[in-house]
Amino acid sequence: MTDDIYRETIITEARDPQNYGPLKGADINQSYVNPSCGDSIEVYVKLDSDKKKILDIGWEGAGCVVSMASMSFLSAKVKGMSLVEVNQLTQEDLKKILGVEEITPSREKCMMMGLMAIQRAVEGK
Amino acid sequence: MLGSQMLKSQFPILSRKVNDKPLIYLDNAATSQKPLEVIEAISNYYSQNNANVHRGVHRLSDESTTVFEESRDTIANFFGADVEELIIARNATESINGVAYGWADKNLQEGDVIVTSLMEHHANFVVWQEVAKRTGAKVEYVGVDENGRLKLEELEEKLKTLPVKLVTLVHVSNTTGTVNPIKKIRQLITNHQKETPIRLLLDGAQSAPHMRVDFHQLGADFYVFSGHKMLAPMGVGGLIVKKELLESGEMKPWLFGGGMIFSVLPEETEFNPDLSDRFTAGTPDVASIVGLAAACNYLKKLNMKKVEQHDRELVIYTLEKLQQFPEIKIIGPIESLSQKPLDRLGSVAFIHQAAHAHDVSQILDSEGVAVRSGHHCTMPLHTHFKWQATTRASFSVYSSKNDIDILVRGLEKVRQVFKS
Repeated sequence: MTDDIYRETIITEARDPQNYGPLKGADINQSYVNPSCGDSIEVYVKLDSDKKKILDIGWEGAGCVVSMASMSFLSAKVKGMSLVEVNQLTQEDLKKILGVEEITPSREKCMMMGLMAIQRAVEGK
Repeated sequence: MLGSQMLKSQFPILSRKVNDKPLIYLDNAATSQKPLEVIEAISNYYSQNNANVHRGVHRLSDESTTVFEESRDTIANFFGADVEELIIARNATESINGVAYGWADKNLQEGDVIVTSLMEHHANFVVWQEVAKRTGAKVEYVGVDENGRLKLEELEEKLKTLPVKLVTLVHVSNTTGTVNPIKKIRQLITNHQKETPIRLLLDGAQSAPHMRVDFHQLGADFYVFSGHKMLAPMGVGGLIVKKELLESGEMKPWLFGGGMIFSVLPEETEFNPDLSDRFTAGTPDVASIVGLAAACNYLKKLNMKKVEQHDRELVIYTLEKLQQFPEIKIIGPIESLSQKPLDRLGSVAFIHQAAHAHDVSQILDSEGVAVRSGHHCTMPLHTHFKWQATTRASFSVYSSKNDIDILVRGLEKVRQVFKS
């Protein structure tokens, strides 16, 4: 599993993440913390006028390669997605997005941190 | 150094492999592994002696009561305490909660001050925040300097100026490895104590496995420990309380029910005058207590002075090796490496400038090396110094310099993976 995670593409993605930084004109900002390690993430989401779709997203955070790369890939993926679709994303989808076949229980939380933040942000919208 | 190769062979789990590599277990501050002697003691108890203790006349109940009482003697003796001073609990956390319910709730009132520090484990933090809510007492925190030591002048200032009733500190930090100067702290308390005594609680979770603790010499009123960090099973540990606090009733039972009573009438219950029994409500976990006693005997045979020396050598060796990595910043006392004895024990935590602690430990795991990463239940300390997360290698009697060499090779792999 380790070789799977520490591939060049993942490390590069974590070091130079997409959509990084606060988003001007965001409708929602939401923070999320991984209590097992203290890592935190903040997402900024801009919705369409019907509030049914994510138009744009920005995020900031500090964490391990898994959480940062996962959030980065995810931020690209959710642009244009409907809130219904975003809420349906699962751990299996994230593994595909990140390109890993398996992940240990302790690292699941790292991988899921970004998705948790986004889903919480759009909760009830 | 202890003969770690021989010792390793006495811990069955250490012969297993992880990721096809021999297991190098350096997560002992979280929990230690268990020697065969401990595993067999527990197993023997269940296959030979199991019955409920006390008040049974049959043979097994007698045997169980005998091993229970002998085990309590062994454990108390290991800590230089009288057996009446030992209250068995699940672990250090539960023991601190015991002091909160059995002592603090009964003796603290609005305006009183509890002094703790920024280097505490959450167990010695959250409990007092809760006591403050219940009693109206206030919690004050002593700061920690850049080298991971308590700011004693801050402690003194608080003792001088505030109505302090309890000082509650970690004996050895699980993050910085700092050994707090308990004699000096006791002296400060004594110097500033007015009519009401100021009680001292020591969280010994990380001192009990690594150094000789003589409760009567220590100067503490309460000392708590976790068995599982000192080769014993999980779920058993204890609280040692100065006898005078028990005899005077200043410390009261906080768990009630069977076993801790003398007589029970519908109107009123008289508690057991026997101090040990008074604090043992319900059926005790005899097998685990037997396991803890076996662990105490095992450590005693090794000799705690030698255990401490072994640990110090490993700490120094690790500090020297890690200093060779410019990308690593070591946490805790290090500038006094030449000072003897170095005032740190048990573990070395560090920040890797290029890789997050989780990534470091994941890569080390691929080499069979188990370390811990995160905030080690010391979030206030991490937040104060803006450490996002740290990686910690921690030792036990079976740890060796060879283990550290393998850790170092793992860190070279981390460097390879994260090369820019």
